[in-house]
Amino acid sequence: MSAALEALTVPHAGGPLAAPQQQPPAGALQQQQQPPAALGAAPKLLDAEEDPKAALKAQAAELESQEDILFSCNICYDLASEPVVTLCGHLYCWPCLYRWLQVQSHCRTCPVCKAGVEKDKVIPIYGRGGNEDPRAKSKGEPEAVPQRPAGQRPAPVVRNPLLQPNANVNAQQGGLGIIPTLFGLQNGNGNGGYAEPLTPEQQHQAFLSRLLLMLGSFVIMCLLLF
Amino acid sequence: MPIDLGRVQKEIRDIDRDKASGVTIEVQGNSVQKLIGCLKGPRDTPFDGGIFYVNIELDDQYPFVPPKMRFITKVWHPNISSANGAICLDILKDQWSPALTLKTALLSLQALLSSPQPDDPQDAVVARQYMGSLAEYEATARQWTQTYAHAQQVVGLEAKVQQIVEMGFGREQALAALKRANGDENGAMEILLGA
Ligand SMILES: [Zn+2]
Ligand SMILES: [Zn+2]
Repeated sequence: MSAALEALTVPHAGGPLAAPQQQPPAGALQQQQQPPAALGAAPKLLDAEEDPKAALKAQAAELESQEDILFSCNICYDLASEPVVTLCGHLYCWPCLYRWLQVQSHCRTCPVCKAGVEKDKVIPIYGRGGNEDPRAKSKGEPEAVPQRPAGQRPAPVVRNPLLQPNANVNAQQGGLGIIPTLFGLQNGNGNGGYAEPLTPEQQHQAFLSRLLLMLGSFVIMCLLLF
Repeated sequence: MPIDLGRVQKEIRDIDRDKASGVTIEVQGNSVQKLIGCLKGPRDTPFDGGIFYVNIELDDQYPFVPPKMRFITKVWHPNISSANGAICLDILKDQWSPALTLKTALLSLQALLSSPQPDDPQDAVVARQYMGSLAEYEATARQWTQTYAHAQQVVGLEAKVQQIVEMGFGREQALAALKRANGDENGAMEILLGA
């Protein structure tokens, strides 16, 4: 809620000038026009205690809301239906976020953190249950809300088979200095074993360049030794 | 589309539960779309000791549009109209976001009382005084707080409510009408008789 906090601590006034109207002199007591300040003499806030049934209901709702609070939409405060998450990580119902993006004409931002939000860059969340939430229906949307954008499907990260015998590689590197690197075993992330998958063509090219390098260094070594 | 009742009720419950926040809210009549907010004047300001009431109206589009807020209690402040309580605050205009709430808005009003923004005034006369002579502004603001926002004014209201109740109206009705008439008992009677 950084934006909200910001808004709280730095109130920024802006707007049209009010036409100056009759200003009572500073000290003038206007007793005949009693200020409405008194109105809340006994502030009657929505009081659940008036009705025990209502109180129970409220309590139940409270418990429920505490459970749901992690996964509640930042706009309607309900458990997010058709949940989507923005790139900045804030959770919304798709209908709620869509509506907000429609309302915001000039610059589309996340309601919570004001980061930029693009409609087709939000990430849908697919839980275990069906993707349809009955609440989405009960809320009723007169204007058609389009489908959530689909999730992205990046290619899976594969374990590179070349990098499997990590322990051996490291041992060799320790013993033979630069030589192992010449054999194409340079191993940037020696302990992880995960690497960007290479296409066959890339592998072929890598092999060729290593071969050339090896030949070159062999020639140099020959020149030095003999 | 009707207003999102669930969210507004949750908001009211949250304010109700958080006694430490220094702001309260009260539903006006049957609809949650008309409310009255209440905030304490911040310490070390000319508004210290005052209790300020704010009229709140929620559009059907809330929370996608900001709540409409206006001070009921008269305030002497560069960003609040001394005539009608209109407020000049960015989050109640183009800086509104549905992640903000009635509570954060009321707290923002409290913060606005502490730190006026005379460059962007709502009330030109007050702003001019604030820029020209701070001491004078503070004296006036303090005077207004004492006159309009101090707790002893409560007694005056109770008398008016009694007066209207004696004419055969309900207490609730009387309070609501007085609120709508900004505390003027004649206005309140007109509302009650006209309705
Ligand atoms: Zn939602
Ligand atoms: Zn965000």
